[in-house]
Amino acid sequence: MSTLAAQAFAVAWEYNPLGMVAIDTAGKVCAVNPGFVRCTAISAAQVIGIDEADFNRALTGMVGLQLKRIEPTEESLRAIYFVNSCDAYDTGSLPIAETLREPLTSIYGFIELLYTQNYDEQTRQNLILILLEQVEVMSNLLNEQLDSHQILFKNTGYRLHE
Amino acid sequence: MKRILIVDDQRITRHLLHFALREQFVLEEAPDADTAFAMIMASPPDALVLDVMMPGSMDGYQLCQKIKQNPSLAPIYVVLVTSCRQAEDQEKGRILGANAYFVKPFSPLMLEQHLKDALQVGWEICTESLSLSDLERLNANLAA
Repeated sequence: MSTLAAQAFAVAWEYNPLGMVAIDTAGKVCAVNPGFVRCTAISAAQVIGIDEADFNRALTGMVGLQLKRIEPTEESLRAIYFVNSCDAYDTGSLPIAETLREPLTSIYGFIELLYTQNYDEQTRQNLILILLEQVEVMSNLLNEQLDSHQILFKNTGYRLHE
Repeated sequence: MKRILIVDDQRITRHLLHFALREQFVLEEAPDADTAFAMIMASPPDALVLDVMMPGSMDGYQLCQKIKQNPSLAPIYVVLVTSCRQAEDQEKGRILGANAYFVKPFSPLMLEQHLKDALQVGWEICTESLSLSDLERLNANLAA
């Protein structure tokens, strides 16, 4: 995987409103993303190390969850699950609101610091770069929401970055 | 300088808090509650800026409760910083012993001021362990 692709995957893993669960080649849960914890209220410690079958059983009984299993070409992984809580795609619900507040916090905070503090030019440039990255993260999150709902702007094909 | 431990699984939020607080406080960082608890046990900070929703075996509420239930750690000033803005979430934090609650997005400068106020005067009085010299020093600070 190229460095850029690896970075993109890391961002997708960290900020994805969907839960993501990685199954290693031994068939055990080896990692979950923050989206999974939000969707299910199950902590990483509760599922990491358990068998895939046990993982499936644990989630089968939960109301409002949809699971999708894919088998990546990555040799170190047997499967990745995407876990979708019905609530996670409700724009009025807490999980997506919380997801959006993370990048919004850094955008708000760094703008306030840039406006009020006397930083040297190099620091200012670094903070502006962080701001741009966070705006992009937020833009991607919002676009994912708009795409998943296909309610707003669907006839115009409008995207936030356009 | 007072020591503050920043606990947040989001690197960018830790970075923001570091920028906002670095001139007034000595800062340490932890990416999860388990790491934070080990650091606190090794050397208790004066205050904790603690995210609520974090992956791992403990979330911010649980770490807050663990600290406040331990008499030797209870004086640590705990600020919960969270995306949970419902009144019941804030009430839960209060019941578990959190000293303050900031909802994201928040003003880092307001958080800085809050910590300065809390750690310089108010919280020391609340510990009820002040000597006469402590009181004289605080009185001098107030008069200045």
